Parts: sequence; C-alpha cells; structure tokens
Amino acid sequence: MILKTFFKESKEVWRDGRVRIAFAIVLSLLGIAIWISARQYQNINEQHQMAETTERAIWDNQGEKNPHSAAHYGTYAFKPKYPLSLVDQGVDKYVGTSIFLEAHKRNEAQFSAAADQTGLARFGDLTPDFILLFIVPLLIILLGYNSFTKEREMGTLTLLKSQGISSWKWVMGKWMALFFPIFVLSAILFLIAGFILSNLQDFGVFNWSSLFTMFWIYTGYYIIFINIVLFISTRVKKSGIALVLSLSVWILACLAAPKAASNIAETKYPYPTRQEFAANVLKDKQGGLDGHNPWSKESKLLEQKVLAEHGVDSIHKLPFNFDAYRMQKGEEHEAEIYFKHYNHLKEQFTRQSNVYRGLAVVSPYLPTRFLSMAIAHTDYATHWDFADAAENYRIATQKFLNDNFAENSSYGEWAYRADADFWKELPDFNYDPPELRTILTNNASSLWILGTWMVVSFSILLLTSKTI
Amino acid sequence: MKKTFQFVRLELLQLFRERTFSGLMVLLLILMAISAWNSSNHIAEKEEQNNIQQNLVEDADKQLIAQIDSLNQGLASYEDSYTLPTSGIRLTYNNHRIATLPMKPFSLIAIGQSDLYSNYKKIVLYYNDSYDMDTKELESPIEQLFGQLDLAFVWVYLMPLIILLASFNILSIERETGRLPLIASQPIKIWRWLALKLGIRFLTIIFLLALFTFPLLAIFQVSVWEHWATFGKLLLILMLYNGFWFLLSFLVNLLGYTSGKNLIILTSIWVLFVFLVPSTVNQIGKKLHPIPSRLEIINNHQEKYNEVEKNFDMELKALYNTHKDWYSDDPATKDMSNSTGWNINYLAKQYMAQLKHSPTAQAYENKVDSKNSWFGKRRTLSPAMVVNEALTEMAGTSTKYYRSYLRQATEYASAYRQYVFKGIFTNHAFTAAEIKNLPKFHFNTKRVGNTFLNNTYTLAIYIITLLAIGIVLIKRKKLLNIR
Repeated sequence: MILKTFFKESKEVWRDGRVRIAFAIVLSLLGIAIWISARQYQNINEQHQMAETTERAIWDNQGEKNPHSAAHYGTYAFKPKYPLSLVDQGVDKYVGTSIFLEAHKRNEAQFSAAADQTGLARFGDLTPDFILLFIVPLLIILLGYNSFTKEREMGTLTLLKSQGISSWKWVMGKWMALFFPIFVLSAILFLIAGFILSNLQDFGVFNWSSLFTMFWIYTGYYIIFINIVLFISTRVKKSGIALVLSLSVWILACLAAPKAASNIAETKYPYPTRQEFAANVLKDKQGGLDGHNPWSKESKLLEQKVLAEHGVDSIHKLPFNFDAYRMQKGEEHEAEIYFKHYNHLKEQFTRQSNVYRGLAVVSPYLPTRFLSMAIAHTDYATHWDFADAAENYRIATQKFLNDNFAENSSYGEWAYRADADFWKELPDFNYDPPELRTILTNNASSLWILGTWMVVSFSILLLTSKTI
Repeated sequence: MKKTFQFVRLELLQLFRERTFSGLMVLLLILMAISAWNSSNHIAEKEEQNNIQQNLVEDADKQLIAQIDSLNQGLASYEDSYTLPTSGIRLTYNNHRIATLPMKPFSLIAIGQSDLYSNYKKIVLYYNDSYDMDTKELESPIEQLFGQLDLAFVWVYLMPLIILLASFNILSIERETGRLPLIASQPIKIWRWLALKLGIRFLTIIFLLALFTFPLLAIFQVSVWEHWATFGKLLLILMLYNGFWFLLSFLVNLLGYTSGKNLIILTSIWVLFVFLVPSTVNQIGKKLHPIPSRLEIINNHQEKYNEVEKNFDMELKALYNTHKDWYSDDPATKDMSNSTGWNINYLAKQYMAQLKHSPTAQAYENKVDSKNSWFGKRRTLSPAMVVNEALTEMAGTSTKYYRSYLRQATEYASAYRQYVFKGIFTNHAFTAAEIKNLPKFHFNTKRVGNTFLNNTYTLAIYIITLLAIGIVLIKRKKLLNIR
C-alpha cells in the first residue's frame, strides 16, 4: 500500500509540468550558486594567503627598531576561510576578517564585507545556504500543498475511503513521494559540493564527515517541512487555503521568526554600545597601571616593589630595563581588563543564544541555521574562538617584545634598537577551529530541538491521519 | 455613474464583511506597529549615542579651556606635556573631535544599513584614514544576518503577499462557485468588472496604509506635518509598488486559471522579485566586479609606514619643505627623549605614511563605489529592490548615505589635522580661543545624491508594462477563458 501510493504519487508529481520546471529551476540555481561560491571561495583564500605572507614579510623586514615601536607598529591575525563555508557562509560577511594586534589594546576584527555592499546585499546572496534554507522548503510546499486536498476536490477521497485503506499507510506513501525527490535533490547538491571541495588544492582540510553531518541536518529540516505541509493538507478542504497556510508557516519560520528572535534577544540582553564599552574599558585602565606613565601612583608602587625585591635603591641598578618591565606589567593589567569586558560580551552572546534556542520552538529554521553555520565554521562562536586565539597571540607577542627590550637595554635607553633579524623569531599565528565532535557537543541543544521538531511533527501527522 | 457608485458602495460593504480581508488588514496594522516600535528603539539608541559622544567632546573641551584659564592665572601647574592644557600632545590624546551623522526624520521607516554602521566617528590625530571607512557598531552579527523587523520589511516583503492573498481568486472563485455566468450576463465586461473590484481593493488598501502610517509615524515622534513632502513621496512609492502587485494579480486573474494555480503563479513571481532576482544580481555583481581584499590595503599601509620609518630623516625634511610653517627650531620638538619630541615624531610618521598610502586606499574606495553604482543600476530589475532603495534613501540608512558621511568625515579629519598640526609641530601653546574655534563637522546631505525620481520612473515603467500586457490580453480575449 505504501509503495503503491508512493509510485502513483511520484508519477503524478513527475507528470506535472510545473513541478518539472520548478525542479529544473532549483537545480540550475543550486548549480550556479555552487559554481560561483566555489570561485569566490578560491579567490578569497588566495587573497588571504597572499595577505598573510606579505604581512609576515613586512613584520620580518622591519629592520633595526625599538621593540616597543614594533609593538605599536603591530601586526595582523587573519581569519582563515574553511571549505564548508562554500555551503554556508553564515555570519562571515558581517564580521571582519583581520584583527590588528598592537600594544596596549585589544582590537576587534575589521572590515566586514557587508559594510562595503549596498542595501541590496540584505536581500541575500544566491549561495547554497540560501537555496537550502529558503528555496527548498518552498519547493516542498509547491510539491505537497495539495497532496490530500486534491483528493477531496476531485472526489477521490470518498472512493479511497470506501476501499477501506489504511490511513497511516496512505499518508506514509504520500510522505515518501514528497520526501524522495527532495532527498535526491539535496544529496546531489552535497555530493557536488563534496566533489568540488575535495578537489580544491591547498585550501584547508576538507572533512567528508562534516559534510555528511550537514546533509543529515538539512534532511531533518526538510522532513519537518514535509510533515507540516502534509499535515496542513490533511486538515483543510481546499488546495488554495492549504497553499496559503503552508506559505504562512514558511514566512513565519524562515523570515519573521529569525528577525523577531534577534530583536527579542537584543532587547532582553543588549550589547553595550561601542561608546559604553570603550568608556568602561578606559575607566578600568585609568584605575590601574599604564605602561607609558612613570608618574602614576601605580607606577610608583610597582617601582618600590621591584626595588625591594632586588634589594637595590635605584631603578638604574636593576639588571633589566625598568621601562620595558613596567610596559609588560601594564600590558598584563590591560589584558586582564579586556578579558573581563570581552567576557561580559560573551556572556551576553550566550544569553542571546539561549533566547534563540527558546524561540526555535516556533521555527525549525533557527536550530538548522545555527547547526549549519557551526559545522561550516562560519558561526559567531567560531568567530569568538578566533578572536580569543588572536588576543592570546597578541599578549604573547607583547611579552616577546617587552622581554627583549628589558633584557637588552638599560633604564631610559629608548634609543635601543633590536637586531634586524630579531623579528623573525616571533612564532607565526595559527588558529585551529573546533573539531566536529566539539561543535556537536556545544550545539547539542540545537540538535535536540531539531530532533524534537521531527518527532513531534511526524507523530502529529500520523496520529491525526485517522481523521482525514 | 450612479450604478458605478452603487457597485463601489456594495463592494466596500462586502469587502469589510470579508473575514480574510479584515484579518489581513489587522495583521498589517499589527506588523507595522511592532516594526515601527522596534525601529524607534533602534533610532533612539543611535541618537542617544550621538548625543553622548557630542557631550563628551564638548565637556572635554570645556575642561581644557578652564584648565588653560587656570594655568594662565597661575592657579595650576602641570608636570608633562600629556597633561599640560596648552600642549598639542594633550589635545592629541585627550580632546578628539567628533563627526556625527544625525538621523533623518524618516529614519523610522527603514533600518537599512544602520545596524552595520555607527552614526558617529571619533576624529583623532594619530589615525590612518584608510580605516576611517570602517566604522562598526558593537552588535551581534547574528542580528545582522537575520535582519531587523522594520516598516521597510513589512512593505517590501510582506505587503505584496497580503495583496496577493486579498486578490488572487477574485475571478476564479466566481467560476469555481458557478456565479461567473451570472456576472457575464450583466451589462459590464468581465475585465471591467475585475478591474473595478481590484481597483476598489487597491484604493482601500492604500487608504488604510496611509491611515495606519500617519498616526504610527506621529506616535513615534516623526513630524509628518513638517516633512509633508517626504510623506507624500513615501505614499507615492508605496502606491506605485502596491499598484504593481495589484496589476499583476489582475493579469493572472485574467488568464482564467483556478484559484490554486493563480496563487502558485503569483507566489512564484513574488519569490522571483523579492528573493531570486536580488540574490542573483548580488552574486553576479560580485563575480563581475570583484573587489580586492581589504587585506591588501592593510599590507600597503604597513609597507608605507615601514618606508617612512626607514627613511625618516629624509621624509621629515620633505614634509617640512611642503609645510614650511610646521617647522620649528625649538629643541623640545626634536628631543626624542621627551614626550613632545617623541609624539611629534610619531604623528609625523603617521601623517606621512597616510599620505603615501592614500592613493591605494582611495583606489580601493573608488572600486567599491563603482561596484555599488553597478548594483544601484541593476536595482531596476526588481520593483522590490527599487522600493528598498527608495525607502532607505528616505530614511538616510542606505550604504550610499553612510559612505558619503564617512567620506565627509575623512575630509573633515584631514582639514582638522592641517589646522592643528602647525601648532603641535611647533610646540605652540594653544589658547582658549583657539580651542573654542577648532573646526567642527557638518554633514552635507546634498552630496549624497537623490534617486527618488529614478525610482518613481522605474516603478511607473513596470506599471505601464503590465498595463500594456493587460491590454493585449484583453484584446485577445479568446485566450482568457473568460466566456
């Protein structure tokens, strides 16, 4: 019964010219999206590699210079692009790609691509994630909105019921007929993406298991939409109304809920304004040690403490340059301040994430989007992770420079120049994003929510099938 | 005439008795109210930040002026140039300038790019201008990814759907319920009857839209009376956009399909214009107009700074040759062991590196502008893009608006540096009068340009095209499956 219904429905779907056209359009769009995204991905990675190499060369070839001048001159940490960002570009275009690492200050990533684009960019890009998240659910609606209503409208429902069919088997047959083409379509997309990604040379390690995990998450998302569309079709009498209701669910889940969720999250747990953030950091900085200010109370206290520790009565008699030592202590104090304030931002981000999870109850789009971005390493959490790694590197770099200054010069010797080869000794910045297992553990709640959506929507569809 | 009037009266009565229509109008009102509330919070926050920034600068200046007066009267003494109120170093690090972009009166209608850009920019002396085009607010990128719920979203995305739902089955329902022959027997052509029915719905929706918008704007403190011309422009744009969707619905109704098929066709066109065309244009634009990475600019600035550092003496000589009045024989300006000398050195390096780097930075910005201009022209491919552009322009939240502001802020920064560097480089003691007369930033909206007429013409062309198609369809009525 299930198979017979499946074959009959599949034939009907395939005979419908509109469906064939819709399939062809979606497939072509996907093809174009993947092709363009792959080219852009390659291009961005080439630019990234070139910038990283050039920046390192610039750092290495500074020539003889005071280490603290080099600290102010600074260097950059560049955020790598990962293979799966080809499938889901996530928040990448809204966060910057490079962080300036300099003395005394933690900077944020600069130059978000979205700021250089027109408002047109807010309509979305023709990327694989756009097709997967918005267009494929629309295709499901187009294929399935009249699955049951057409039986009512054509009068075949009474005929079928008089044959004594099993409702759940009938529903399962129709469900399979809707699921199969969508499954095949997304499988083709992911296989093409996998093939392209595994053939890209030198651009990050591509992981098939991450791609498969992403594929199963999207499959789960489509199952939920199939369940909802079929449920609506079983409950209403007219195809037109079924279409209107299904479209309303799509608008609510994919357009309205995410916007509402972000507004609620921001209203409930707002980020401080940039001005507030900067003022709070400045206030804490002023209350502590400033490496550049030898006249402050904190500097004098530090001086007394160091003199006592070394049993000397003048900073000139210390075995190192006290200016550089004070500079390093100032850095450590400032790093702590930044750590404290950025932690507050992170806490707000965690609270906002909880709001998104809570609102995922009204939209399966939300957990799918968060999981997809996380696996692609294009989510906000990965960006935080990168920013933290860059900050740790900055702190280590400042220590590397201040130590050289302290050990190789004497107090007041600002004319000291480090050797031209010294800069090459600074280790490179490396960032490794979290592994798939860690990502799934961190996003377990989204997995649970998506799973619950699947089970509940499927159960409702089957349980209510008796009353069709 | 009397019959038409009676028809209109009866149609209106029927319309307001229709639960679907009333429900859709209530939904529209609710969505608009929530969106306006959300936008007003966003704007209030931006305005508050602007005020705080402005006050910070004014307070710091007042304090500096008071300290200069105290110093002149011999009431205070200072240890070093970082704290000495007449010192250029103090001015450099403690008294920055501010360039604020005031929100426009109709900012409420579209949040646009204002969640990406900050509406104020600190103007400092030790800054590299290529970074001036990068000013971000501290917001979650997830919020930016999902976008904001604003009136533009309701009008551009949802309003067409509301129109389609209120009009997709006007003719088909008559056929499906068997009433079409009865209508056909009346002394009115079916297309006229359909046009009249849709026309009444269009005017009703426009009237209600204006009725909802006016008090909503007033509630959220937009002085509509004062800016009646902008309000008129807004209504005209909305009328044309909604007219486009009603005309589309009219044509699809004329084709004589079933209600379900009508809805699928109309929804597909909605998806096409609101999603597929904009996203495809975006992607094609990126491919055709690739923008070199900003990372290249970073590299270039670092290289230029290195060049300046390596040949500093020569570069400094060249700088003083260009700006002879910046040179001073005061030994303090050359003594690297004191803060005055060190900072003059530092500012000079920054300034020279910036001068050398600016052609590269400018070339990059020109490329961004030319890419954006390409996108701007392609907006005509979808009425949704045209309306979005028109709304963000009226709101002052378009990229073009922000980029113009940042460019003006950069020019102001340059003028400010030229103004004060002479004093700083010559270790001049700044007076209270000089601090009071420091240049201020004024944003010139006229430099942004205006595309209102273009947008209006484009929407009008869409409508004329649909009308022409309608006339052709009506003339070939055998194809219409009407009788």
